[in-house]
Amino acid sequence: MSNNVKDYIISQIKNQIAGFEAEVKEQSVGRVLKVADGIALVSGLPEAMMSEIILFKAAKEEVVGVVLNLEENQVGAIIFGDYMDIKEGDEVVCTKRILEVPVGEALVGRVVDPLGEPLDGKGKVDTKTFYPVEKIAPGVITRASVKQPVQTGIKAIDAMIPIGRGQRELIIGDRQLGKTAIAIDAIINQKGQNMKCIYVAIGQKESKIANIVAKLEEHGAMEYTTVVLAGASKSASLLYIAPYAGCAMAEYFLDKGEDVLIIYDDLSKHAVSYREISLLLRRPPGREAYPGDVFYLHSRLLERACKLNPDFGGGSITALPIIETQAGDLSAYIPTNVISITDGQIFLEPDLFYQGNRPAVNAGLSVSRVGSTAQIKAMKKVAGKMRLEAAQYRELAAFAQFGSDLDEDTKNKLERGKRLYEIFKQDQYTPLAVAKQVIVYYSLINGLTDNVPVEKMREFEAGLMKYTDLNDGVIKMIDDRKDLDEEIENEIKKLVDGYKATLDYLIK
Amino acid sequence: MKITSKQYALGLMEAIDGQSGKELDKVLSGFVALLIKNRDFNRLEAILDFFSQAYDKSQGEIGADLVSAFPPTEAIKKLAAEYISKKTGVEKVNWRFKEDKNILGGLVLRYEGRVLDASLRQSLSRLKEKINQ
Repeated sequence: MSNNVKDYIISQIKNQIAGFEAEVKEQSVGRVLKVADGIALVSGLPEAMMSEIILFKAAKEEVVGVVLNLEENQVGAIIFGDYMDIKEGDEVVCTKRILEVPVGEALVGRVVDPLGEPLDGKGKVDTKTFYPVEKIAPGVITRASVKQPVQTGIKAIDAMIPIGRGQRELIIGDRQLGKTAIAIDAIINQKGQNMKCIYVAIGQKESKIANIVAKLEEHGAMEYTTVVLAGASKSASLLYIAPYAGCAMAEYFLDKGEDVLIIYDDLSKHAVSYREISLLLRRPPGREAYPGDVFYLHSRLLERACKLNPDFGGGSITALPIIETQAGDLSAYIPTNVISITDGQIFLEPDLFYQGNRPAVNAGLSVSRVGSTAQIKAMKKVAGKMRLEAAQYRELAAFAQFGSDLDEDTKNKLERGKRLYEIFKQDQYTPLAVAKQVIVYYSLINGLTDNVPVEKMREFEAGLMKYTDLNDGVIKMIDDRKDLDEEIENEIKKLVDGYKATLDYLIK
Repeated sequence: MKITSKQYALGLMEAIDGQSGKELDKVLSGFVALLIKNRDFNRLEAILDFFSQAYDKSQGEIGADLVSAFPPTEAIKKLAAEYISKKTGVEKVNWRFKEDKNILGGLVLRYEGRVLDASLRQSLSRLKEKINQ
């Protein structure tokens, strides 16, 4: 090292020390009365505010906490760091700062914890912007109606349970039925759709998240996705703030007028962690030992999902909360709460799953209260008829079990229904573009696939998609016009006939 | 409704106001009887804490801690007392002095749930933070 550089460094350090003014500030302090499982009771702190950051001066280092209970002589706080270091009698100081998390473009493509600290080993999150974790949802004046679609790429959902930008659609079902799979497919399908995605993992196994991140990377989806991870080994307090932190990160993009898709996986574990905190803070337990404000816990979170009108930037936050039920019990406390808060639900059923209908979406119990306004016109035209076909098939299939003496019309409906349910089957990580979905559905409801054997339906569909890729004129037409006019209909017919001419397994 | 410790203390303050001798004893035994009746006897310590704070305040006094690395000089005591009087409006400060070599130098003032940390140790840790930035 040359002398110049050395002198420069030394003089810089000297300057820094010389320019340092020790400012002395009076602070409000309290003392730890009790520490237990991630919560602390602190005496004093008369000036503490709700959800203010407080610092525990533990022996080794300062530990961050947040005020959650304000009582006469003491405050209850949740601790975010290592609470094992905190002892009774330790000093606690107020910071006069409300809990906030780093937000911004720098978070895209990263895996962070609920406080915005990186977990992916890719270095510091480089941002100077912070958003408060708790924020009141946008009011009625700022909102607009939901009418642009979110294409999940999942055929059964895009056709029958359409999701719009700004909607809150619950994904509900027992464990291991593919709830997360639907959410991940939806993220993967957002490529090139001007959508930022945030995946909030609450109390999930870290191995599962590692797999998900790897899959997202493989499909190039991490380019527009942030993963907020509060793993199963983290304390209840981190799990509790995770969805709010994720939502704050989404609100940054909302304020810029962008569209965001946020997934809360899952809110059952979130409710459980909140129950843990509440009971430790000695709040009175209610039904299933959840505290009284467990409804508000989720309603204030999901109400932050919105579609803003153009005067306020026109951005949107679409929320896909996930709820895990126990043995299909939809009428338990948390599931009914979240069902009533959201704008519809996608219900996954074990019977369908084990019959091989995957994704196991129960078309009868699943609804989207936004309905067909969140579909492009072309999809609307084919999907309207298809819902009917699906409903009729379910009814007839139950009836047809009793006898085989059926008239021609009924037989046809049954045959078509079988094909429809074949079409609904879809492998994981293979979302389908909306134009292609339109082609598949169009050919089905117009009888173009009636002479394809049921067991060959999936093969036929896969082949048709490949054939369409080679002759992509129709796809471009649908993407451009978003509608299904006569010209496009003729083109689809020509395309399907062209493909069928190459096949040898058709029913003669 | 549950009576808080602070309410007990303030109630006691009001009750003994202007009482002395036998009357005071009567009020006090009445107070103890009330605590027993309400089954709040186990909170006596907290109540007395509040009471002594409130009593000091009514007498224009305040309790404060002064922590320093070396025994404080009279000048420093006076300065500290002036500071607290200015902040709280009370005239007399009942000091509790404590020596703590860990703070290295300077002093730490504690009163009424507030702290003024003017210790050398704190300044050094601030400097460390600034250089680390």
